[in-house]
Amino acid sequence: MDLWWSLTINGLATGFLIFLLAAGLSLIFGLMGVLNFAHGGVFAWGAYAGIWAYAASGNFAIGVACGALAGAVLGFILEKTMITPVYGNHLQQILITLGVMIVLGELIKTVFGANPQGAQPPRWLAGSFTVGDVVMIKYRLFVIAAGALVLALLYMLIHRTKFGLLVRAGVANREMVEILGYDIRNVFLFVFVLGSALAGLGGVLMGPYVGVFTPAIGMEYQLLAFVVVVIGGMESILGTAAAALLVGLANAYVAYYVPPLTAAVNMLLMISVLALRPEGLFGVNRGEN
Amino acid sequence: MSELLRLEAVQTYIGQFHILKGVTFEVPRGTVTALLGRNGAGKTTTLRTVMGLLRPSAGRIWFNGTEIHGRPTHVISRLGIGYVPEDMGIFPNLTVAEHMQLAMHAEDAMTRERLAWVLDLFSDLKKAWRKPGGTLSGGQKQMLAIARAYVNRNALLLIDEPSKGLAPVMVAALIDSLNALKGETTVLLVEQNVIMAAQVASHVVIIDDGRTVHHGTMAELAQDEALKRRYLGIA
Ligand SMILES: Nc1ncnc2c1ncn2[C@@H]1O[C@H](COP(=O)(O)OP(=O)(O)O)[C@@H](O)[C@H]1O
Ligand SMILES: [Mg+2]
Repeated sequence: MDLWWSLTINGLATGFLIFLLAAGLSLIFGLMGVLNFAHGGVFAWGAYAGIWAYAASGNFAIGVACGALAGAVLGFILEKTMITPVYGNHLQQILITLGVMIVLGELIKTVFGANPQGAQPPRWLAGSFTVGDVVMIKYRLFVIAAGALVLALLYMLIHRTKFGLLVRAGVANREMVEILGYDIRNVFLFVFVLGSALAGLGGVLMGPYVGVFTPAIGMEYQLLAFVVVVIGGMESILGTAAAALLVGLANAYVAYYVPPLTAAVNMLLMISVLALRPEGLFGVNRGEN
Repeated sequence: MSELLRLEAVQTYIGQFHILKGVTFEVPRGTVTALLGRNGAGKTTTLRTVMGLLRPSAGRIWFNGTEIHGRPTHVISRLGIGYVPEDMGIFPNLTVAEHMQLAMHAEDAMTRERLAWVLDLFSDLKKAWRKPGGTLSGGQKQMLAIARAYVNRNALLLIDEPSKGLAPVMVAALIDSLNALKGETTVLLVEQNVIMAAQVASHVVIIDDGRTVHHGTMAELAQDEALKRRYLGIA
């Protein structure tokens, strides 16, 4: 039972990290129809820039803020220079964002070196404590709490603010948002920057979680995030969160109980969810307009 | 300047198709002007071009003395033009309340007053206040689309076939509302239902195959059987 608990905590922590990456991916795809393969590169940059700032300042909070900020700045530059010219063209989007992904990875090697990067939790989050027989690793609990907080804030933003209303309207009908007098391009830009900031935040939080990482984490987590977006559907942030936790938990359990299936678990999840609900776990069949 | 909207030799392509080949007309201030023509004549394309959803390849468009062709749609909208598209543009995932919240450009007393007026006019919307747009009936969607355009103090309304799908009693309410707006708001109304158009419009523009072919008053049109037969297919 205690083993099950630690697997569960592990899975939830991984799930929330994937959620931070997948949230931006699904918002950007849902609103702008942009398949953003550069997202994992932004995640990796968040990890490197954030952990660098953490080491330089000795302050974890500053590191976290810098990771998110690096994501936001990269997102702003990418949207303005790379994404704007290819709106509406899926093939060009895939090619250009994949190219950006590769360039971002190489730039990390140039700036931070090609060696694996180490990261430790700050002292106040290091170590563990026990509840009954269960060993609670503090940093994992922290990641879960941070992920849950971001989820709550994001939910409020999308469902309780006028800006969120614009985003939800834009997902359904961009042209009508313009007709009502709102500049959809500003909404796009903001969502892209927000999604990128979340990816950067996910990256820096992931650093101490895995302990050692390379630029390859960008691609690795991005694939998981794509699985999550497919499973969760593009419609709701709660769907994305549920799918991310499902993927995190499934990976944790399977890796321990059925190791041979580890490589296949995400594909199996995707296939079974899509077979049962093609619109995704939380997708709604949109009534025709 | 007696006209609020003026189009001069406007041409519009959709992809490689030459749809508007020369549209010229004026909408006098404070009037309801009907834009008539048979199916496929280019009425919807004309409205979309005015709204900036399609960019004219030639010609000019003035609103209130300012040239607006080539400007982005949201800017044109904020100049004071409300648009009810033919497909109504209802967001299936947003409630009626959210539609109205998004449509309202201001939260001041006057806008709230207009909201109250619109909801009295289309009281069905009040009953469906918390329902998502996707679950509304065709008539309710049309009312919501019109309510969105009415709620702001727009100088000009472009309304594309509002009577389509409305029950006769709602068409009557729509006619009353258009008549109530007269003077304060100018309307360019696309309508298949010529009898309905005749009850609200004082002026008429007819387009055929992407060209304006007639421009005059509703009274003249009512007399001119040959004109009606030729361009509107009515005997
Ligand atoms: N997206 C499009 N692609 C090609 N042709 C179009 C498109 N939209 C409209 N058309 C054509 O343009 C012409 C005018 O259409 P429209 O403005 O909708 O006419 P109306 O509103 O008067 O019925 C029609 O012949 C229609 O087939
Ligand atoms: Mg039409």
